[in-house]
Amino acid sequence: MMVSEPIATEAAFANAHRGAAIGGDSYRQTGESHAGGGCEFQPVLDTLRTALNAALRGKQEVTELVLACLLARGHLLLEDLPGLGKTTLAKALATAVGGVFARVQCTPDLLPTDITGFQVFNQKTREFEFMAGPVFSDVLLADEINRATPRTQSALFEAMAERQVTIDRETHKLSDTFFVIATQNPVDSHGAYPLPEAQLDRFSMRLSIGYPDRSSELAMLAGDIQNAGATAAAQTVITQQQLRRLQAHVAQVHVADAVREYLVDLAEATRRHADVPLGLSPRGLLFWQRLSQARAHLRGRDFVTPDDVQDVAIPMLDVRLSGEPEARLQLIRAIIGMVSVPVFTAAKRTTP
Amino acid sequence: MTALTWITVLLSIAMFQVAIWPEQTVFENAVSLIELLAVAIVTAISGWRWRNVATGLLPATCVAMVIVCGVLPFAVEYFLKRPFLGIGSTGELQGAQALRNIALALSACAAHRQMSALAVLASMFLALFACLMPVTPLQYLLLAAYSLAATCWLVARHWEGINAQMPRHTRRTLPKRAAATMLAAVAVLCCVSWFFARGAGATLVLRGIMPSSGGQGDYDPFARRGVFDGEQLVSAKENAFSFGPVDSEIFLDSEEPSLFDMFQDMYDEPVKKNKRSERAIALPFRQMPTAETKLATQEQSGREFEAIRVGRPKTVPQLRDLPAKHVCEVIGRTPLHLRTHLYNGWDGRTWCWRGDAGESPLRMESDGNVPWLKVGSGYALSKTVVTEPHSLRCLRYDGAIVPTPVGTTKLRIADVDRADMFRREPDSCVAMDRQRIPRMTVLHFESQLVRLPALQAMPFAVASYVDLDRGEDGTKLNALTERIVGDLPRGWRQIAAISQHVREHHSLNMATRVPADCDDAVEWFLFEAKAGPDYLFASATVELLRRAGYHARLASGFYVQPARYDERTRVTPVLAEDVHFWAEVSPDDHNWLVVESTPGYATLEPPVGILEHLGRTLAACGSWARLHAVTLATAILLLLASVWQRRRLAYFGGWLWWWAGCRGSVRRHTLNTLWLLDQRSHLSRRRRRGHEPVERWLRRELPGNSSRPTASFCRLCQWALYGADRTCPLSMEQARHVCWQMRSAEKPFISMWRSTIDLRPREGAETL
Repeated sequence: MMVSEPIATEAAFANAHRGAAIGGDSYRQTGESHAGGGCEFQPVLDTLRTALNAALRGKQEVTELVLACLLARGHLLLEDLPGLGKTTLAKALATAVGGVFARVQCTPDLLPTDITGFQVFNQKTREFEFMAGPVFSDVLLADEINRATPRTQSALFEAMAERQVTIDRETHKLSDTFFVIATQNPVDSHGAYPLPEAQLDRFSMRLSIGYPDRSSELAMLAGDIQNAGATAAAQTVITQQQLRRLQAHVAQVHVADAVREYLVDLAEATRRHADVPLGLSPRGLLFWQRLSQARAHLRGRDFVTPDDVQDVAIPMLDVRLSGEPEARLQLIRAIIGMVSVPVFTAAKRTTP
Repeated sequence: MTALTWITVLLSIAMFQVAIWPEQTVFENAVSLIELLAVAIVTAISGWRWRNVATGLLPATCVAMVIVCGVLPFAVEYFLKRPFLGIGSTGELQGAQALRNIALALSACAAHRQMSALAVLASMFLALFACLMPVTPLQYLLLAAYSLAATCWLVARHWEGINAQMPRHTRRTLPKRAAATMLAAVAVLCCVSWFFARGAGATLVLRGIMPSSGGQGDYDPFARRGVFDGEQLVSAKENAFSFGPVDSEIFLDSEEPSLFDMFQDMYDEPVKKNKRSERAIALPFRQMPTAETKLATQEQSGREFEAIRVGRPKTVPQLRDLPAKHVCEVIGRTPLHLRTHLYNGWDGRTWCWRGDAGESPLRMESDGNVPWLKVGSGYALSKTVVTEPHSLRCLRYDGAIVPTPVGTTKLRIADVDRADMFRREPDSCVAMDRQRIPRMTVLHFESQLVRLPALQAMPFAVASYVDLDRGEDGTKLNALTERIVGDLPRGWRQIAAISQHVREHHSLNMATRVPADCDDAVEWFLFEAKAGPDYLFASATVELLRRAGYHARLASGFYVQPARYDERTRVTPVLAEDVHFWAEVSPDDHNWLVVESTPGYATLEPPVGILEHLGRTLAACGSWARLHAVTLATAILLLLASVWQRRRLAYFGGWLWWWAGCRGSVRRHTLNTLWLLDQRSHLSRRRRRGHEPVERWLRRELPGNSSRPTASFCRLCQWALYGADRTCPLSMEQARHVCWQMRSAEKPFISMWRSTIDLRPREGAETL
């Protein structure tokens, strides 16, 4: 069974994969206010949204998903053609959330220690001193991650999953809000090392930005003239402490039993599907729930609905399924179409 | 795979054709090959057309072609070969030819994975059939080639089915659903078996379950030996009473006085000295038996294992006699009146026969090569007259009078072709010209039955009886007759009315006896006792019929009860206690009809065809409808109105349900409203798809999907469904108002556009 009417996220992804511009603000058309819910963090979130949308014009849906990924304490993989704003988005996000920003330009000669850090013998003190790598930051931008060798890519495993690194038998804690934004270019595959499934499973979602629409490009050109070619300086809108509290608050968003069962049904559907060689892992399922919570919070609700689950399904499953982008999209739609949304079964449980 | 499938199927067909070639004549083989060629051409064309149909549903034409190819051999057999060409095949061969055609037709879809498997499966059965036939060297060659092709097909299929990936996981669980389904199926099968069998053995229940396996009484001139029931059962060798009711056994000589004595008439061999001897008929030499085995007597119906046929003296068991208590056994439809005596004289106390037979003399006539004894003129054959066959096997019947079904026109005993073997009794009944009918003799009858419309239209000649005037007694009987007959038109309706009156106003009591001093038993029965045995019922009926001016007489004999029908042996036994009296009436003093007025007894009616049965059912329904016309019309009108307005009714019913349930909490109210919208979308055939979340469905279905009430209702529904103890996004009043608006909204949500209420979520909305 196929989902006949793509949701806004699907449309964004489909357009992005086709390399076309996403027209209009599909998210706003839902008629739901982002400011609903009366949460204390809502003004901060709105400011964060505005900052990201200013950096990346006409991509509100993408920025919403990026925010969801951030609030869910996940990591983001941006996969798109060069020049579409992957790095811009990552830098804008890093600046907006404050904290330490680090960037690694991945190349084949990049070593694991170039990311994690290494022990250096200090001639003066005659002791080994630890030189922290870029992983010891709050937002890490791993640009062109598929250019790094698998050995170097694997250096990020522990950091992404457990927010810690172990160097020379010594474990170093990373920031609580450690957030990895990795980018990769899907077209130029010469000298590239595709990320292994184990690495991909540590990302919360894979996003493609796609070309902006005509009006956004016109606004971008006009803005460039006004700024006389200078890049607008982004501002920090949320402190690390606020972000930690916000992430903790999102983790408390209620998920009804029926919705949890719906999530498990979807996960089982990926495992049963004949065209999916590797079904959704429990870690992926946890990410899915967190992303759904973040999505619900961003929409001003303090409980998760199946709409939220479906809204984040495509970027969340996209990073975990293999194959061509269009085939992956069709597969995800088919999987969602296989599982019934709990409606009156959920009603029976909630009705006293 | 496609090519392999074709090769496998074609090899099996070649094997089959080679195998059946010697079994048929050249002409039959030519016809079979023409049929095969036609199917092959159609299949080849279709195969080219459907060469790319690899998965999914087959085209309807493909399925139709498979069915047509399967039916073709039977159609050719029964509509071309047998009626026009005078040739035919056995049932098994027709089935195999159908299988051959189906295999070929399935090959047309050989690109389809499942059809390919079915085609090869059919080819395997075809090859097995071919192997069962006499095998020639060419068949060995073809069998080897077929085995090679089939093996290659299996290997290719195996490799094609292998998915080049490791299993992700394995699960070992009890297939609960399959087990439950299987158990349910077994339970249903047991219930059905019990319902149909109800104590009968497997032999009876499974009789005829396989086509052409015999046991159904069918006869097929093209059947192979041992298939269907054949010409007859196996003939006896020496003793006439060794086997079942077959006509051949009565040819033989035995210690019992037999109807036939071939030795005496044809040869000078020593004749067995029977103490009793009677007339017999000569038979040709070729029917003389050669075996000398001492055989036991079996009088019961049914077939026995024919161990004596193979001639192994040491294994021949000592068969014991199987005596039967039956006077005779009847094969054919029942109930049946077997007449043995007739009475036409009645003085109020005694029945007797007066006068001569008055029937035409007995004579033989030939129907084909079968001699029949003509015993009655019968009616002119028409659609209103049905010829009814019966067979009678005499067992304990000790008499010469032939128990004859009423309306019999001719009777036959195998190979008895002389009319002087029979005689007319004084009362015109037919008897054999000997002291008794030999035991185990099988008599075949043909009688005539008249359909009811013809009976009702039949003119009955007026008859007058001088012995009806018996003083004052006759006056009461005449009055009763006139009262019963009333204004009914003369004919069968009056006769039926008289019979019905006697049946309904009197009760059967076999122990009742007429007082010795009674002068008129009929009057005593009709006016005083109101009860009595069957002969009083019959006597009263005859008396009343005669007073109404009809030719009527009393008959006695055996009543063959349908209740005694033995499903296992398919005969209806007649016991000594089945003797019975009944009345007979004649429209022309030649042909007689049974008038059964005794309660619990019935007459044999002509067989009812499907159309006639349907007509009767419809007539019964019509009469019932006439009786309950008003009620029926009201019900139909209500039903039609309900069907016509079914959506409105469901709509209204849903609204009532919603209204009854909306008095609870806001959550219940919201869910009720959601259910109502779901029901309405179902009624308008736009039901929510299973994977579609509520919000997306509501926004798609509601015209004002961006309006505030719709958005509010969506939020309300999400809270009601998944919000648990979270705060309701709207106040109670707002929530109820939104639900009310949604309730009143149908396809165009008109009421929503008129909404003026502020539906913005409030700070600190109530927690429910």
